[in-house]
Amino acid sequence: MAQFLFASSVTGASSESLDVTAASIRRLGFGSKRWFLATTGKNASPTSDKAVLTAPRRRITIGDHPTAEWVVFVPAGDKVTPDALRAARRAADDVEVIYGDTRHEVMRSDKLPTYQRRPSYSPERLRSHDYIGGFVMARRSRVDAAGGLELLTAADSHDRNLRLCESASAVSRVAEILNFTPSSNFLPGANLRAVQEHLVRLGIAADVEFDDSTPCLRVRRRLSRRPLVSVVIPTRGSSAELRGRSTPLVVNTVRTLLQKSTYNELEFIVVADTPTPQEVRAELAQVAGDRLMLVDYDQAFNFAAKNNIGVAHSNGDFVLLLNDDTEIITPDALETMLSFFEDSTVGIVGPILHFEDGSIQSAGHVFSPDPTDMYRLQPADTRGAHNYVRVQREASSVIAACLMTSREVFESVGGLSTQFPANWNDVDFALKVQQAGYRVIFTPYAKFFHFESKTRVALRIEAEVGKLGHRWGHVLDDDPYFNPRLQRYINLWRSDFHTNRSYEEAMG
Amino acid sequence: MKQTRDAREIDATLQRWAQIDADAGRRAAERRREVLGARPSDELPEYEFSKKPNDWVHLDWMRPIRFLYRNLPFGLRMALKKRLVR
Repeated sequence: MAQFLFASSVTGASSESLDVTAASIRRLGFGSKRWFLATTGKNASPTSDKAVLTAPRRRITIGDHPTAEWVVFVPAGDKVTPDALRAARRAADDVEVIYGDTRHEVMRSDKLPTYQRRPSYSPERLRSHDYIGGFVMARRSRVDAAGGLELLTAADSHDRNLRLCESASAVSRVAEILNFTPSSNFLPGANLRAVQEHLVRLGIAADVEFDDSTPCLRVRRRLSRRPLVSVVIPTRGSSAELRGRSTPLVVNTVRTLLQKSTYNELEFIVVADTPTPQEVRAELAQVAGDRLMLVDYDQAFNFAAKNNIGVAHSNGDFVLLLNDDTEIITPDALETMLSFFEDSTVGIVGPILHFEDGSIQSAGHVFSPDPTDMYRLQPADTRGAHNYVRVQREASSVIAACLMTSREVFESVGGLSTQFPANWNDVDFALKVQQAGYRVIFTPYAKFFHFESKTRVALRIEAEVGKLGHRWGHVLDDDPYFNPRLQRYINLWRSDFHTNRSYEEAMG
Repeated sequence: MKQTRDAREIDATLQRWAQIDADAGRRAAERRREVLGARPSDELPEYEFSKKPNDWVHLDWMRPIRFLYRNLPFGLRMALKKRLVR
């Protein structure tokens, strides 16, 4: 039988809030309870600490419990649900840290409680902000290895979560409400110093700074070298109205990349369909000069095959797959994306894509269960639920209109699958890359335009759905970076009230 | 302008990648079979995007339970609801 030790910091906590937590602990079942209260926080006031600690707490013993199997970190004022302890009892042997969803005891105008639904463990996101929050459970052995009970209880929750998770054999997200909180703050906080120390502990050479518009952090890894990047662009040589002028799209893509990007170690592999006009070819040669390789493609349309041919011809250690209707926005976009590959566990990096009017075209994919461009059509300054759009994070997939990967990773999974000539070759590619043990990263700090029509709806080919599901149905139905309690078939991170509402209606 | 590579070299590379892709697809399908708990001989159903919300409250077998619950005394019902609804 698992034994639990509850741990709270009394820094700034009122006696009433501790009473609320104590009552929820008492309700968790029979037997005596152990509760560790840390008083060493920087801002702890000795007077309030004394009042808090001397208050009688029936059936709860205050103090450490060295033989407890699990430590439940619970912020003062929060309530622990029985599901939390149940999740710990059911946890696999290798799971050392557990977190879950939170119910905020704050009613909105529609009288429904509000929920904070969290994705599965996302280490890159945890470096950006504390999406895990104050309620977390960890095995006692992990707590001791991560700095000890006293230090972790008194620590800021971002610091605590980084320390607990960074060396854990497995971190588990439970898609259940594990705590109720009186807090009305839904936005995760961020602790700059905690992230700096975390990076030092892991030996990651990076600079950390606060985002200028959002309470989250940007981790910039330092580039140790400037390798050749092969930009692979499939095209038909089409022209379109851009900012009121008819422009050959592929020429615009190459020209803007050469003009705006601060990264110069580039070669361009343009895979051109046979009907590509001669004047477009000539203009490309003029713009890109000896950095250009033009590869003719005379077969039936297959986006995956065209990209594969381009990569097969290329020479760079890294590959940027780029549509011919894109344009770089942030000059250091390539450095930003490339810097993630300093970490050998990163396989793909995708930027945020915008329509011509600035609205979002894609902020990474989620599978809900169909692969969906997150926050599509939302305004450019959208932050998303819990600043989802503004943080660097793991994603299950990113759109192949613009993604960077290494040659080694691309070759190790056999490139894009030609079984998906039109749709979802990027989804399949990202899932193959993850199956091979790499991470897929989305970064909002690399920005590109994608001049796709806003009204374009990808033609769903049932045969491709069947093929994708045959390989990846289990992932599509349970995207780790989504939450099963969220609404499906929309491109927003929004709680699914359907179940809760019908439950409340049914139960009267 | 750069010269393209030899066509035979490219074909060989693409064939090698196609083989790796097929192997990766096979591994993924095996994993899906494991997750679904299917035996190797079982024919898996064609995948479709599911559209059913998790509305277990209104399943038929819940009807008598809902009826009993609604007819409990108010205080007891509220106490139960407080513990169950989240």
